[in-house]
Amino acid sequence: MTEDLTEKNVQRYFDSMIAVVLDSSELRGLDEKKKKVLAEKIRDHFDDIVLDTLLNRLTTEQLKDLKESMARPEEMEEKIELYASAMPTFYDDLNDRLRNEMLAMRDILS
Amino acid sequence: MGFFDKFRGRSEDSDTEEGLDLEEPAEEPKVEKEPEGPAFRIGSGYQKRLAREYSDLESLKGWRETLAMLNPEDVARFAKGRLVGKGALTGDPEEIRARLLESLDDYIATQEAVRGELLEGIKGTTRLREQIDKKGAKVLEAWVERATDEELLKAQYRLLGGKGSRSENPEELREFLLEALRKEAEADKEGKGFLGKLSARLGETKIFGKPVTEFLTGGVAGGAARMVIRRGARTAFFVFGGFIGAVGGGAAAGYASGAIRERVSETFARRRVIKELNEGEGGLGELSEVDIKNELKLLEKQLEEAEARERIRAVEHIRDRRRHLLWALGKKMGKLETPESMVDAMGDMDIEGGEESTPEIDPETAERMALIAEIRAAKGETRARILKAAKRGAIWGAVGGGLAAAALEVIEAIRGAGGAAVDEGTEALGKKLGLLGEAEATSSPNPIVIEVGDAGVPDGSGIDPGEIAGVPGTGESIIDIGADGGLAGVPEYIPLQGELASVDVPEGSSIADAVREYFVDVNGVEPTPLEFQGALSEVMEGNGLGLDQIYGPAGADEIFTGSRALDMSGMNGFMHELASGEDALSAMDGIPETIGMLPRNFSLMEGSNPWNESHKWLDQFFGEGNFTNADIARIDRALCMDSKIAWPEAGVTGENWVDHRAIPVGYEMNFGARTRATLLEILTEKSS
Repeated sequence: MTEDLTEKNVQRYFDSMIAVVLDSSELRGLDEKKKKVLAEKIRDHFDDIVLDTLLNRLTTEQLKDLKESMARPEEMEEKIELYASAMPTFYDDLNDRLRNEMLAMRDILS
Repeated sequence: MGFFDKFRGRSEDSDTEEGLDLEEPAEEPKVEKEPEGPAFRIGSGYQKRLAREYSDLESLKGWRETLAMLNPEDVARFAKGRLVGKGALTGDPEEIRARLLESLDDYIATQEAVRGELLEGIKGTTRLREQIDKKGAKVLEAWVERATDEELLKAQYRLLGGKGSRSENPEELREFLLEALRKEAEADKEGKGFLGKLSARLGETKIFGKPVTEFLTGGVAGGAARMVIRRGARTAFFVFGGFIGAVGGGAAAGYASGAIRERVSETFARRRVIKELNEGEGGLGELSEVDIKNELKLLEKQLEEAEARERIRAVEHIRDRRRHLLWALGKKMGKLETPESMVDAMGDMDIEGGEESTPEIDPETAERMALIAEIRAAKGETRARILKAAKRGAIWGAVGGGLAAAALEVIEAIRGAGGAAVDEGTEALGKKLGLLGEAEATSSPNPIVIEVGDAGVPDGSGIDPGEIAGVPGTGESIIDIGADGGLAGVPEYIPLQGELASVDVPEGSSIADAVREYFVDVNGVEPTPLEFQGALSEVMEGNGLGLDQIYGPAGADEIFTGSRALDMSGMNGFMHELASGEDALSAMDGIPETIGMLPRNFSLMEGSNPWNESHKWLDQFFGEGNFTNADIARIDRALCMDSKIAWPEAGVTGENWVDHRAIPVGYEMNFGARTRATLLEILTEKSS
């Protein structure tokens, strides 16, 4: 239950950032269909940042471990979650990077 | 009922000869008046942490929503040390959670009101900035002339650099400073001084396409507003002293010669300007092509340096900024004509800015890069799973305090506790968060990066600089040695260790005072009890002094009153950790702070005894019923030692009986270092 809510919360967080970018003056007037396509691209871009932030903070041993476990998705997920939860400042770093990215996108698209 | 329980049950107004009440505790007297203000509130330490961690109120509201959704038991545990007010932590978890949320709402509402006032205040500082901009060196000269000796002694580290330019003699120091100012003023007349350069940069030259006046009013206010929200109390220093830091301090340092000037001048001032502007409104979209290209060049150099030092956050920050600049440049040059093409370009650009060449890659780095590339290339369900787990992990890390706990564990490991602490901590965290079951909990490598500032590892931290590449006992953690502040989120106004290596404790002062003053001098705000204790510990350890030497019978104020020099490098390292959000002490957020808030001492009242009095304080600060008899025995023994009374003298006899008459009325009992350390030990044991 808690897990679902956490994921919903994360989803909402990303949705709100995407909404900010889509509300920039260059994109505001686009039709909904186009906006939907762009929203997915923006989401992908934010996800790239999440991935980048995570991978940058993993040790080489963990990267090896992670790569090795990719064939076993559940084990892989568990490992990532554990690694990520113990990374100092990961949440804050992620938050800062995503927010900066969102603001930069909004600026450029305004 | 254990024998100590008797004393804890005694009513305060008991007048029995022994000071004991063996009957059931009397009923609590009814409260006739409602206390003023909210019954519960967020503790001051947690308030500061919130201010530091949430860049705006929207994200804080998001955090509030997250708390509202979590398991009440977890939230109730989390509330410990964060929610204050009598009885705040009693009742069922739902009630405690409701109080925490309500208090958070109060806090958010207050912040909303305060924000408006702060913005007004910030506007006021721009006037001050203009004033100093006009008067230039004269303002600084005037300050030097009127500064007290003490102010001068403190300020020399900020204002003077270079060998032989510092002094313990205020008059000599005043001369040094004035001479440096005169020289700079001369140079300035010819347009060669720092002020001239700064004026050119800030005044005549448009920065990012904006006239400087706009920067002074709009950019600073916007940037500072963000800093206010982000850094809470520290921002007062940034905003009001920030002018001194960004222009005045920059200029002052520029006026002087030597290492600080080198550091502060070109890159420092520019970086600060860039940072402020970036954080202001509308900076990126309005950059000129020339400015973008210039900044890109600057970033290349910074990136090289950050990569060489393996500073993850700095590298990310620079790459992000570079990517944003490239977008802006693309738009300026008309290469991104439609909104769709712009979004496409944003998505297509390699997050790492991959086009740069890395000429010499060692095999280990090459292997690492290949692994990252391979994982990054994952598509479909695998990518989705990685992302889902990473996001969840990030939330758990923040919610569970895993972030700080992990940092503490590593520091403990470094200090000799060994790698087991790390693995155990990870296990405990995993279990706590429900990520690992009892049966399947396994130790696992723990990726930790701690940036400790580029001037090296704090003396007295127990860290051998030679071991920075790997943490003894773990073999896997990395300590990332950072450079100066600006690139990785470490505020630039925190001095580097090399810049401020020592401080004098003048005759009649004390180490505690010196530490407190130094903290205020650097940060612009009083330390919290937690910060003070951390800083004091660093200084004591760094100078080979025992913690138990801080608190004597009369407290810290009367210890070490002789003049002596103190090595503050450990404290600087500590402040860097605080500023970068990596303060290890916050791992036990709440607990040490509460200990720090205990009174230093208390006097015995007529009819009272040490145990009833001390337990009253403990109950008040930590809640009733939190200590077992064994805990209390440990605490009381330490209290005896701190209070310079022998254990049997205190009245505990072979009969397990306390005789308060053995201690005279008015005797001062001390919650000294031993008692505090014992409390910390006990509470840490309980919380783990």
